[in-house]
Amino acid sequence: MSPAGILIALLLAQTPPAELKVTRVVAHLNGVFSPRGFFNITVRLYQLTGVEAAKYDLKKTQITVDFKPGVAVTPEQMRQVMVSAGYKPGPIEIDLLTVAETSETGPGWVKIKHPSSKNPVVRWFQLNF
Amino acid sequence: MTGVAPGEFFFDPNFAKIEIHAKQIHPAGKSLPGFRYVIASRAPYALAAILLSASIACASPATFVTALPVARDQMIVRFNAQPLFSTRGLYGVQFPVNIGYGLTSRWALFANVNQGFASISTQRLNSSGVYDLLSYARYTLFKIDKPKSTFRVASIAGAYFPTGDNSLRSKRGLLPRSLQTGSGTVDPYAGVTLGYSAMRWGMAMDSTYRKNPVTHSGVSPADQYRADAQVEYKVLPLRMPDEGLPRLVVISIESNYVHDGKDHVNGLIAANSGGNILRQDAVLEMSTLRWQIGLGAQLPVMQDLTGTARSKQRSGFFLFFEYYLAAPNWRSARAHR
Repeated sequence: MSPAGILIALLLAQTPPAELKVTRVVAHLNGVFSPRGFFNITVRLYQLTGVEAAKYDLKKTQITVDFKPGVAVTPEQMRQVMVSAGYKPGPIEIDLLTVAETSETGPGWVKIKHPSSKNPVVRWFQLNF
Repeated sequence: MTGVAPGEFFFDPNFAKIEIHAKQIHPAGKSLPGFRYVIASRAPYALAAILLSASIACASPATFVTALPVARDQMIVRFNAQPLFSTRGLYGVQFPVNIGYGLTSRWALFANVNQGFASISTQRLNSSGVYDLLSYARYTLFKIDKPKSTFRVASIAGAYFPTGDNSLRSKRGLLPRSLQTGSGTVDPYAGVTLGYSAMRWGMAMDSTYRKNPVTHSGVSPADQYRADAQVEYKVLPLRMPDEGLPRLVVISIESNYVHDGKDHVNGLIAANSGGNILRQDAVLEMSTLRWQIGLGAQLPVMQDLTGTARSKQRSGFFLFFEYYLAAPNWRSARAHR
């Protein structure tokens, strides 16, 4: 390979890969008017792969869920979360954001735990306490 | 909801002298205990019932748990504490624990365990230990979820299991009903419950019946019908923030009606037992994403007790703490293997 070819190859290698997008889901809920209702939804989010954080808005009866970069979700999966928690799902909006756009958090944001211990008892304690 | 109010565990409408009808001789030929019984009828059972409710809607009554909301794979644990103050020297404290588990979005399972002690100071009698276990299932029959409100109706069915004792004795004979910790039998329990909730207020009601088979030995509590109603209002924050999940302060006004039939002692009807009671409760609750705590006051507004020289409940108070848990998830456990 010529020196010019080597130089071009090095430049290409240093080019950052395309940034993975973050999936943000905004879902409206029917029938949730208390913190306990939002916890019911949270329990289902624990079982959804790739959920990073969730934001609860009581006045709007709305939940906003951010997934880990690169993880995708379908509206049907989100509907299932709400139905299995015992609530009737409302409109669902899905957006793709950059990591920078999701870095800001505020009131109502909660980190969703995903314990990784192989011991189910330890995993359960990590999840709840 | 189990349909058992915390106050029920402590207060026995049949708390009075027991007078045996007609014969003073047990069918088996044994003489009945020779001292005057003081019987507090429902205390143990009601206490157990308090602890066992599943969640049906959004409202969260403090004095009955049959309407507690429980979602699939969710667990609710409610710890209660209620001192008992009554006339004729009966006092005590009960610590019921209610556990609810959401099997599916419509099915929920509940268990109420209760422990505590009670004493009749004037007679130097007391007892303590584990009371009867209440376990029931709740099925949501009907629900309407709207953007601004939700309404649900559910049926419940289960039983009290005789983990307590209905034949506790002292040197003077059988202890009064108020000091017994069980019914001695498996007691079927069934009812219906409903709840309505909106952004600022909610309500819940239930109606339950407990069938207590009569035993030939010990104290057999009578069958019991009860109806409860609750209205709650979120008083704080005054202005709900546009975003986020604020801690809520809720005022709950609750009523409990209890009708008791006649108790039996060693298979014979106790004359001074049974009646109707209506209690009014005011409860202050704080609610967050993972827990809820409440403090309530209870005032008996009607005590229509049959018989003579019946003991009446005094005003009291109670505390509860409720914690929400994600239940062990067996589906997820398989994924980790």
